[in-house]
Formats: sequence, C-alpha cells, structure tokens
Amino acid sequence: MKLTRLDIEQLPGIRPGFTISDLAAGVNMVTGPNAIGKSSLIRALGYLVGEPTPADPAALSLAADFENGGRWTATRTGRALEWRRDGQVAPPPPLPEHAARHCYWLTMENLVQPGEDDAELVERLRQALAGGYNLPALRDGPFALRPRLGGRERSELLQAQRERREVAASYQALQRREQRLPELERRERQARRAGARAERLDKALALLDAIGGCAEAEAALESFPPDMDRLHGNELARLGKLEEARDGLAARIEQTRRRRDDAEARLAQTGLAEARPPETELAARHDTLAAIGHRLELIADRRAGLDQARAEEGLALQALGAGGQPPRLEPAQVSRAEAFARRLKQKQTARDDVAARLDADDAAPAEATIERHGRAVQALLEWLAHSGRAGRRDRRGALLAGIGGLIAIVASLVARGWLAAGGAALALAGAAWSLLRMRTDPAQQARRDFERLGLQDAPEHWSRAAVTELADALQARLAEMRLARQRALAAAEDRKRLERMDAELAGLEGERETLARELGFQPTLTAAAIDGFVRHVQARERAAARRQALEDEIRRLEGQAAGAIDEVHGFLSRWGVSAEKDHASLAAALSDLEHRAREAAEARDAVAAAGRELERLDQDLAAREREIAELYAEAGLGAGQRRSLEERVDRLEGYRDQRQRLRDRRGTEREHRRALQDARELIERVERGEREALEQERDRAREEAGELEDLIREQSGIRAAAKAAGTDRALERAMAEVDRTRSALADRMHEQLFAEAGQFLLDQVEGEHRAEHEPEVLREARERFRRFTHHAWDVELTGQGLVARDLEQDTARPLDTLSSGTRMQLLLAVRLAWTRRLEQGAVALPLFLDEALTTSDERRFAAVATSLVDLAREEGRQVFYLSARRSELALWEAITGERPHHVDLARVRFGEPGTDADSYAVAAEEPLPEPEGRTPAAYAAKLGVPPVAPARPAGSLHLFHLLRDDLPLLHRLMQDWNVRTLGQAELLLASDVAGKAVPDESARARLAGRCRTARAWTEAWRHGRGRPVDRIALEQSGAVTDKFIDQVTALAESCNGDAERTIERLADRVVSGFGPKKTAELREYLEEQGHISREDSLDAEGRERRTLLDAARDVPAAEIRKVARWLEASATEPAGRGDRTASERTINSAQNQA
Amino acid sequence: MLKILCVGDIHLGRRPSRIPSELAPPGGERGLTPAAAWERTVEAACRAGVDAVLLAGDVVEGEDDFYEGYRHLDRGVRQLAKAGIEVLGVAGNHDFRVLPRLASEVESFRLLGAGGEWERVTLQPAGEPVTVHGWSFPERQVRRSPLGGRQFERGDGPNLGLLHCDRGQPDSPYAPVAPAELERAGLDGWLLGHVHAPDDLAAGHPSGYLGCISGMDPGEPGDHGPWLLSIEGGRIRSLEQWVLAPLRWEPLELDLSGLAEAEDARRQLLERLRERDAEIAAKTAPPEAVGLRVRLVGRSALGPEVQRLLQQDEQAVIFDGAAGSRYFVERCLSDTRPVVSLEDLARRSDPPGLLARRLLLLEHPQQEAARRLIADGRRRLEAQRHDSRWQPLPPEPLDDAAVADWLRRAGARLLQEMLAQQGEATE
Repeated sequence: MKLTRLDIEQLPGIRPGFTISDLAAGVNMVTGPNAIGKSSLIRALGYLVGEPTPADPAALSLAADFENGGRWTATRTGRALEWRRDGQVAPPPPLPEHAARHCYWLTMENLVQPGEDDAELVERLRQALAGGYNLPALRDGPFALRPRLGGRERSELLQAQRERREVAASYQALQRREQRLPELERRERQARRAGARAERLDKALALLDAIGGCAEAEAALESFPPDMDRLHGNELARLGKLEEARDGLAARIEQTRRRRDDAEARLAQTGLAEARPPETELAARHDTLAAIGHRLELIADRRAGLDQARAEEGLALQALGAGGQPPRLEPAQVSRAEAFARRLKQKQTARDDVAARLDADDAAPAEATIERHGRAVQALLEWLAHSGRAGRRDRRGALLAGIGGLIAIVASLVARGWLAAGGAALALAGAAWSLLRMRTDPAQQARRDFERLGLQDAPEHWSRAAVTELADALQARLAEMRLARQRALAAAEDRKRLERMDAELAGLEGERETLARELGFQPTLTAAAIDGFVRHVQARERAAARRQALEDEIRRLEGQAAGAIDEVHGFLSRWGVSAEKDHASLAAALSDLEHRAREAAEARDAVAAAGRELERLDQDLAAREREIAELYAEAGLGAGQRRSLEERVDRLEGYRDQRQRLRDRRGTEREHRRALQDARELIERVERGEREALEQERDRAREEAGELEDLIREQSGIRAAAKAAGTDRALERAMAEVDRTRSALADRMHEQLFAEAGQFLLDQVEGEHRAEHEPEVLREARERFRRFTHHAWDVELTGQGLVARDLEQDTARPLDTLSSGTRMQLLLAVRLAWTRRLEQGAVALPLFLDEALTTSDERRFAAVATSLVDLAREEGRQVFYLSARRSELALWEAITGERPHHVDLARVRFGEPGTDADSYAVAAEEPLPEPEGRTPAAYAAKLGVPPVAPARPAGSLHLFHLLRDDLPLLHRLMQDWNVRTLGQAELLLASDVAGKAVPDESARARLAGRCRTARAWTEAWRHGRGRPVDRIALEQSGAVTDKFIDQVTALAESCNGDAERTIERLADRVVSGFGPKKTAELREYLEEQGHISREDSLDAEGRERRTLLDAARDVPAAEIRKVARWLEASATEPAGRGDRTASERTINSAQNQA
Repeated sequence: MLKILCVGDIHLGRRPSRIPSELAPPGGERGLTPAAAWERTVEAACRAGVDAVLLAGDVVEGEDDFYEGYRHLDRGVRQLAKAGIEVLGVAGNHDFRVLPRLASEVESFRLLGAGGEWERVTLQPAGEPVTVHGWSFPERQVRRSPLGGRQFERGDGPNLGLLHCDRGQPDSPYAPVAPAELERAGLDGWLLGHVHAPDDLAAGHPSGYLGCISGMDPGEPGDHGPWLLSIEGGRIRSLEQWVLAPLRWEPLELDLSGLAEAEDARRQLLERLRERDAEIAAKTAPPEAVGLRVRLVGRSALGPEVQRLLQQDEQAVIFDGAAGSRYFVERCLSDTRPVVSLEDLARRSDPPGLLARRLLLLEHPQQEAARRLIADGRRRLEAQRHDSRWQPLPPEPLDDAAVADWLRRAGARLLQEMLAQQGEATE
C-alpha cells in the first residue's frame, strides 16, 4: 500500500496544515530543517491507519490517499475514522497489528537501542525456535562444559608423579650404590692388607730408629762428669736452704746485739740504773695526791655554798628594809604574829561583805500598792472565770422574742386574732428574760471591779486573750513587789551588824600597835604585810646560819690539804725531783718519776733477754756450717766448690734423660725385634740401614690403607640404606597416589567428554532443528544482516537473546558489545524481516526512517541505503527517508546510483526551499586492483594480504590463501561481495545468494572444501600448541601484578602470544624484578588454562596427515594437500620458534614457494 | 604326577585403585594388594605341594623397585625354595632388571632366557619330565618378536613356552608376537604374561595368557589367580585356575525395565549380589573384597534417578557375602534407554526426534551418515581430549567405537532429559 497524498488540516503542533501529494512509489527522501514537521508525517499516518483510541487528541483533521489495487482514502476527523475505496465507504484494508508499527517507523534511537518491542519480538522468535524444549538448560545443566574442571586433579596427579619419580630416583640411586658394594669390598680388603704392611714397615722403621737412638744415647752419656750418679738433683736446693738458714742466723745475732745495746742505753737514760723507787711508795704517794685533789674539790664546793648563803641573807635583809640589824624573833612570836594577821583579815572581809549588801538594796514598794495589784489580779481571774455564759442566755431570750414576734405577724396577716396575741406575748417574755440576765452577770461585775482599782494597766479589749495576758503580767509584777518588800525588811539587820563589826575592828587596831612595838615592825602594816615581815625574818636567820657553817668547813679542809702536799713534796725531793708545792706540779713530777722507774725496769729486762738469745743463735749458726760442709762432701766435692756443684746439678736432668732414653731405646729395639721376628727380611734391611727404601714403601702402603675407614663407612651406609629402603613402602604409596589421582583426573575428563558428547549432539540437534524450523523472520533477518555486513556478521538467537556472530573471529557477541553501526544494522535487519511476517495477509505499509542513518558512517549508510533501494525495487516497498540534512540526498544518490524522489517539506509548507547544500562530495573509493597479469605473490602484495596466522581464529584467514589459484574469483568476491575472509566466505556460501556470488557450482564446492581444509589444518597446527596468551589471560592468572602487567604483556606480544616462549623469556629475567616464583606460578596457570601444551606439536607432515584425516570425507586428498602446503608455506611461527619471525615473513616469499 | 603352578603378572609394589577407604586403611598393608595375592599363591603352592612355580614376567611393578615389591618376591621365592619347590621365571617389561638380580641372589630361583636369549630347562622333580623354554626381556621395550620364526629344539616331556609378550599386536613395543608364530613354534603350550585378562585355558589348549593374579582396577574384572598345570605320563592332564585374588572386580548390569520406583533398583541390586555371591563364594579362595561396576540398562525413565541413588553408595561397602567377601560399588553408570522406542521418536521432527535419529544411526556405525556423525563427534571429543588439562593422562584412543559409545551414552541421557522436560519420560 503506497501513500499518494497526505492532507494534514489539523494536527497538534502543525499550524497551518499542509498537503503532500507528490510522492513516489519507491524511495522518497523528505528533507527539511528540524521542527518543520517531518516526524508529523509519521504521526499523522499513525492516526489514520491505527484504530482511534481515547488517548488520541480530539483536534484531528487528517486525510490520506493510498494506492493498493485501487484508491483508498482514510479520513480522520476527531475520533471518527472513515475508509473509502474508490470513493465508496468501505471497511479498512487488512492492516498490520498496531503493536508492530515500530517496525515500520524507525528512528535513530530505537535502531541504536533495543526497546521493549524488540524484547517481545525476541521472545516470540525464541519460542518458535525452541520447539518447546529448554535446550540451554541442558547445556548449562548435565552437559555443562566447565573449563576449570580437572585443574585440581591435574595438579595432584603431576605432584604425585613427581613424588613417584623422586622415590624411584632415590631407589635407583641406592641401587647404583649397592652395585658398588663388591668393588668396595675388594678395595676394603686391599686397604686392610696395605694397612697391615704399613704397620710392619712402621715397626721396621721404628726398629731402625731405636737402634740409632741407642747409639746416640750412649754417646751422649759419655760427655757427663763422673759421679753424676751420686747426685740426687736437690743438692742446690738443699744447699740454698742451709746457706739461707746460716745467713739468717747471722743476721739475727746482729739484730739481737743491737737490741741489747739499745736497752742498756735506755736504762742509763732513766737515771735509775743503780736504784729506783719502790712501786709501793709510788702508789702511796699517788693516793696522797688523790686525797689532796678530793679535798680541793670539797673546798671549791663549799665556797660556792657560802656565796649562795651570803646572797640569801642579803636578799632577806633587803626585804625587811632594815638599815641596821634586823630583829630576832622567837618562834612563839612568829606564831602570834601569824594568828593576829589571820584574825584581822577575817574581820575585815566580813565587814566588807555586809557593807556591800547594804549598798545594793532598793527602796521597798508600799503595802497598799501590793494589795491593789492583788485585787486587780483577782478581778481579772474572776472575769475570765465567768466570761461567755451571759452571751448564750442572751441569744435564747432574743430567739424567744423573735419567734413570738413572727407568730404575731403571721397571725395578723391571716386575721387570726388570738394567734397574734399569743405571739406578741411570747416576744415580750423573751425580751424581759434577756434584760434580767444582763443585769446579774458576774463577769461584768468583775470588770467593773477591776476598772474601779484605777490601775494604769487595763486591757484594750476585754477579750479572753487580752485579759489572760494582763492577768499573767500583773501576777509577775505582784511577786516582784512582794520580794522587794521582804529585802527592805532584812537591810536593817545588816546595818546593825556593820556597826558591831566596825567596833571589833577598832579593837584589833590596838592589838596591832602593841604587837608592832613588840616585834619591831611598822604599826601601820596590814594583816598581809605583817605576815610577810614574819617570813623574811625567818629566811635571814636561816641564811646566816648556813654561811657560818660553811666558813668553818672550808678552813678545816684547807688545813688538811696543805699537810699532804708537804709529804709528797718531801718524797719527790728524796729522789731528786724538784717541784712546786701545788697539786698539779706534784702530780706531774710524781708521774714522771713513775715513768722513768718503769722504763728502767723494762730496759733491764731487755738487756737480760738479748743476752740469752745471743747464746742460742750462736749455737745454731755453728750447726748450719757443719751441714753445708757435709753436703759438699756427699756430692764428692770439697767444701765451697759451689760452682762445680751447680754445673753438675744443672746437667743432672740431661744425664738422667739420656740414661732413660738409652734404656727406652734398648727396650724399643727389643720390642721391635720381637715384632719382626717372623720378618727376617725386614730386620736385615733394618740392620742394613735401608731407611729411605723402607719409608717409601711404608708411605705407599699407608696411603693405600688410608681409605679403609671411608670404604667401611660407605659400605655400612649403603647396607643400612638398602635395609631401610622400602620398608615404608614409599614407592608403592607413591604409585598408588599416582593411580588415584590419575583415576580422579580420568573421571573428570570422562565427565567432560560426556558433556562434550552431549554438547555435540545438542549442537547437531539444535542446528538441524533450527535449519528446519527456523522462523522465516529470523532467517530473513540473518540474510539481511549478512548482506548489510558483507557476510562478516551473522545473527543468532540464543538464550541471551539476539547475538551477533563475528564470522572472522568466530565469536558470538551480545548486542551491547557491538558498535552502534553494527547494532543498528542488526536491528534494522530484524525489523525489516519482521514487517514481512506481519504483512502476511495484510497490506504493506510504507517504511519510514526518521533520521535513522544520520550518524552512520558512509560505509554503513551505503549498506543500509542500498538495502532500502533493493527493498523498494525488489519488494515494491515504499520507503520514506526523513532527514534534516539535504546533503544526504546527494550522498544517497552517490552511493546507490539513484536519486530518490525528493520532497522538500519547507517548500511544501512555506514555499521556501531548504538552504542545505544540494550536492555532496563523496570521496571516490579506490577500486580493488584487478589481478590481471599479476602473479599471485604480486597480487597478494598489492592487496596487502597478511600471512597465515594459525594462532588466530580460522575465520579470519584471508581468502587469498584459499584462492590463490583463482584470482578472478578472489577479486570478484572481494570487490562485489566485500568478502575477504574464510568466515565471510563460509557464510556467503551458506546463504541464499551463494549461487549469485559464485555461479559455478564446482567453484563453490571447491571453495567450501578449501574452507573446510583450512579449518582442519588450523586445528592440526594448534595441536600441541597452547592458546595464545594475552593481557586478559595474564591478568586472570593472578601471577602478574599491576606493577608488571604492562611489561609482561609487551613481552607476550613480542612472542606473538606464545605462552611457552613468554615463560622462557621471563625465566631469562628479561622483565627485571619478575622473580622465578612468579614465573613458575604463571607457568602453572598457563598450563592449566591450555596456553601451554604438554603435547608435542605436529610437524608439517603430521599436520598434513591429520588434515587429511579430518577433511578427507569432504575434500579430495589432492586438494587437501595443495591447500595445506599453501598454508604451510605462508604460515608464521611465533617469534623465537620458527626459522623466521613474523616480521620477516612476507606473503611474497610464501607465494614464491607456491 | 608333576604339578606346576603357573603365575601370570603380579605387579608387586602396586596397590589397587578405587578402593573404599574402609577396605584400604592408611598404610595399605597387605589387604588387597598384589603382594597379598602373591602370598596367597605361595601359601597355596606350599599347601598343595606343587613341584614348580613358573613366573611369566612382570612380577614386580617397577623396574627400579628393588626395595619394596622385590622384598615380597624374595620372601615368597625363599619360602617356596624352603618347601622344595623350584621357581623359574622370565622377565617382563616391568621387571627386566629385577628378576636377573633375584636369580643372582636366590639360588633356588632360575631366570630363563636372560639377555633376550632363549633358554631351555628340563624339570624332573617327580620323575615326570617337562621342558620349559623361556625368554626374558633384556630391556624395557622390545619391538621385535622374540620368536622370529624360531623352531624350538624339544626336550623331555611336554615342552612349554614361558614368555612375556604382546600377542597379536604387531606395533607393540612389548615383544609383539603373532599367534601363528606361537602355533608354529612346535611346543605343546604357551604360558604367556603381559595381558592381565586370562585366556580360557585348559588341558586341551594350554596356550594363552595366564592373566594377572589379582585385578588392579575395574578394567580387570572376573576370575584371577595362578593356573595349576598337571602332567602325567608325558601329557598335560589338566590346567585349572586357582582363583586366589583377594580383590575381585565384578561388572554388574541392572535392568531397570519395568521398575516402578528408583528405590526398587537397590533391592534388585542386593538380590543380584546374593546370587553372584553364591557363585563367587564357591571359588578356590573367595576374595576379601568385590568391587562392583554397576551398569544400569533396560528401557526406563528412572536411569538418571537410579544412578544418582546408587552413586550415593559409591566407594562404600553395601553387602557382606556369605564367605566374608565385602562388596562395594566402585561406580554406577547409566546406559538405559527411554521407554518410548527410538524408532517412534525418530519420526518426530522436534529435538528429541532429531536426537533419536542420531542414536539410531549409532546402532549402525557402518552407515555413511553414522560414520560422518562419528567423525564429527570424534573431532569434538578429540579437541576436548587434547585440552591441556588431560595431558598428564595416558593416551586414550578415541576410535570410532569409543566415540560412538560416548555419543550413545550422552545421547541416551540427553534424550531422557529432553523427554523429562515435556513430561514424556514416564509415558
């Protein structure tokens, strides 16, 4: 159904309306600036071909003409939609369902980003493809391939194998050692024999040494003086001791003599050599001097007491104040004075007390005052006793009068005369009774009594509280007045007593005067002064008596001391000692005499002792002299031949050594002769003195015997090790562990083989089911997508939804990982395919693309534009391409070679053409060079064909390597179909256009066979080679830290991803700091992940054989061999492995070989 | 009558794998090892008063095992010698170093054919002569036939060949010998070592493999033990096997057809075990342990469920036999087929139908379509097999039969899972 006219009279956002009628049946490009209303065309068409809905705006006035086997007109006014066919009202044509409109009207946004509509589409496709079975669940469930499965078991097996090898190696080593045992035993026997011979030779040489030694010793003994045997060796020591003793005695004699002389000199110095005072006399004089000293001390003491007595006497006299001699009082006098003083004092004190009391008395209150206060108090108490009772009676009288009055009033009102009279009478009685009670009240009487007393104190208000307070105050005042009255009465008595006391004191004055004259003190003295006079007189008398006694004692002691001094002085004079006659001089002189007498006695004793010692020492000296003489005689020397003796003693040890040596050597000689008694030959050689020959022979034997210990130790070690080896069943355990781990790994492998077999069958079943049941939509979408991408991509529907398959890399990629251009191509392809399905049984709506290609690059723009032109041409589809860029008109024309019908919307609406450039300069694409006349090598060089890189996915192999013998076909596929790789070629051959692309069926079959061969050869090449290692693998290994990742990645790239080579270079420490441990860790990971293979890779012949094995069912053997050799010749080897590096290899050289 | 006990491969120094831990205590002393089998053999020989024991090579597992397996051998040979039993043997590829040493150290043991030179010896311990011709491996691998068309010079009595070789495997590195060579050699019988599965030997055809005396793994099922050869009157009178192996591997097929519940399979298994135990207990010396490899067969939708059930019993003793043998499940494999026929399924065009077509193809592997399917499958499996993870494993040939087996088993499981998704499995 083609749109021929669109009339927009009223549409929200469009004012004024406009009409488009110049439309082509094929491609229409509608241009105009933004907001000109391009998208409104789609909106308007939507309201016309869709069912009206409540959400549609009311202000709609639209009409459209369509050509679809007649002229169809749709008119929309508000919500009213009317269809006419050829002018007649008719039901609408069968239109695609509303939900699918997004497939027709495409914008840039919904082409770049799949929306909900696409999800629904995908779900529908998936349901169709699954056939009702959840095959992905099977793939991920019981048949899941787990890339890391078996890794642990593999490591355990390798470890177990290593341990088994280690045990086996230890056993082999031990076995090799055991095999040496016979040789070791032979060498041991030989060493033992050599040892025995060496011993004999040692003995022979020892005998030789002994014989020589005997001769030497005998010669040496002859050089000693005779009589050496008589020496004991200790002669010099003994002589020394004797001489030392002798010299010591002489010295002591000399010392003793000097000591005796000194004692005699000290004796003479004492002056008492002839006689000395007896010690008893000296002691007696000492006692005398001590007594003198004692008396002198007493005298000093008494003199001090005398001074004190004199001072006390002076003080007493001073207190008495007597200029002359104080009175002398008898004890009776003293007692009388004391008694008088006491009596006088008592009298005076009593008289002072009475006088003081009289001074303190106040004037006494009058009796009438006291009585008046008493009556006032009585009246107040009377009032308090009766107050309150009269009030209550008054109220009763008043009440009675009130009631009577009330009755009288009521009675008068009701005209009851008798009742009013009764009430009045009752009132009068009450009033009279109240008055009577008032006149006879005792409280009122008491008040009146109080007021009549005329006291100034009266209660301000006659209340109970005020009256009580006043009564209490008056009672207190009454008590005070009564007390004052009593005191006034007692003062009279005191005056009388005072008068009597004054008379008595006057009498005592006379007595004092008498006593003063009698005792000698001042008559005016008070009682206290008289008492002090008596005491001072007594003290002066006591001091005078003590002074006199002390003076007498001092005189007596001084006399005694003078006599004793004379006695001592006389004694000293008798011994020639002069001294002053005082105690100190005499004591010093007596001490000096005592000292000299003591020295004289000691000196005399010393002289006697020295004499005795000199006698004994002389005897000892003579004995030592005799012993010395005897010692010389014993040594055979004359007395005093000390030097000779010293010489002999010095040589005595040498003499003895020589003598012992001689004895030893003679013994040794005998012993050696006995040991060699069965070796006469050796004895004879010894006796012939063949020392050098014997020594040489001995050294050789000894050397030979020297390894005996080592040999024995080695044999013991081997036997012990052999005995112990295997008792722990280490090898059996190690082998069992190898078996166990191998079995475990085999189990894992079998699990994976089982899963792989399941996956294979799933692939088979799914592929066939897809081929048979693939929805037309998906098939068409695939075809379109392949065409859009020149067979570089395919589209699949998987559990993840729509995915694009990169046919070069042979990898599936989800939409969100695609470039925006590829994703747009994919979604466009799917939607176009979907429109086809929707249109089955329905009319085909025009296709609108609103700015859908604006951001595409030229290549994709061209692909889609070409597709749209084909769509319009081959399928009769009307296409509207809306663009704000007028220049795309020229671009479209330049790409497709056809100028689309142009609708300038600006001109349509406003009569002004768009201002955008009308032309577009498209860069001329350089055509692919023709192979004409070129050799394959030259053509490959011209094309820049990369060499075969078997490590890369087979799908990326350049098509040249498969068609080098058919360059025209290569050129056509590259030029016309943009097919450059094996993957693209396979897809093209499997597509509906295969026959168109390669019309020759045999050529198609050949190319398909070569693709198959190349894949098989690539597989064979990879056998025994690990997967390439790249940055991702290195990062996932965990062995390369961020610090080294760049360097190691660069290294891996320089090795063309060859993991083995990379590890080798790392082991060579080309990356500084990346240690062996990390290298080993990385190696283990790369082995586990298949980057390093433990299998041997195949050589060219092996690869060809394997390729034949794999591909022979599909491809003739000759064709396989040819392609395999092409590939071999052009294949690159990883750096460092092949004979040339990748950079060195060129396609030219490969082609030359071909 | 002359009685000769013929012993095949022993592989002293090894321990069997896949043994439950309760039957293989830490240390693995005696128990189920080949050493225990050897001891049983020696004791039985002494008890029976045989005249000679012949060893057909690979007596010791490791060529460097002079300290473990060798000790067992040495002890056994000395015990036999003490009992007056002559011991002769040839070296195999595993013990070409060990046996010569034994011969040099133990006077009563005689190694035949040392250095790869045929040697003949005539025994006449009981007045009944027999001549034994032997050849020993001089090195680990010998790629030529030790016979090489040789015609043996006969000795007294029956003439027997004692040889360790790979019969009928011309490319084998282990002394490949053609069956025809053996037949043409002019001897009365060949006592062969190397292959662990014993041939069906008898007095009438006393040529073939003696088999190992104890199966090492589930791949060596059935009867194992030495063979007693009796000679009387210059003729071989009997050749019978003494089933002495302490460990026996037993394949067991369990038909699940008609089972209503998975648990019924366990009861069926025990019934089968009682039947088998009665047979096994009647052997010469009942084994101490029997390892069962259970294979589920028949038409049933219960295969995966029963397999999961029995896998719970793997590596566990499930039954104690009347003679004391302890039975354990080594592994349970499922090889059941769906209840619905493959032919019916194959008529459908849905995924189960397409899978059924392939399973039917595998039943006729010679057909072109089947060959193509197998070839494609082999490429996939080989790619998996060549994964670096499995490289430490010994090569496992993926021939067409093996590939077909993998596809058949995986396909059967896959089909059952598909049908289960649609609820068709129990129909």
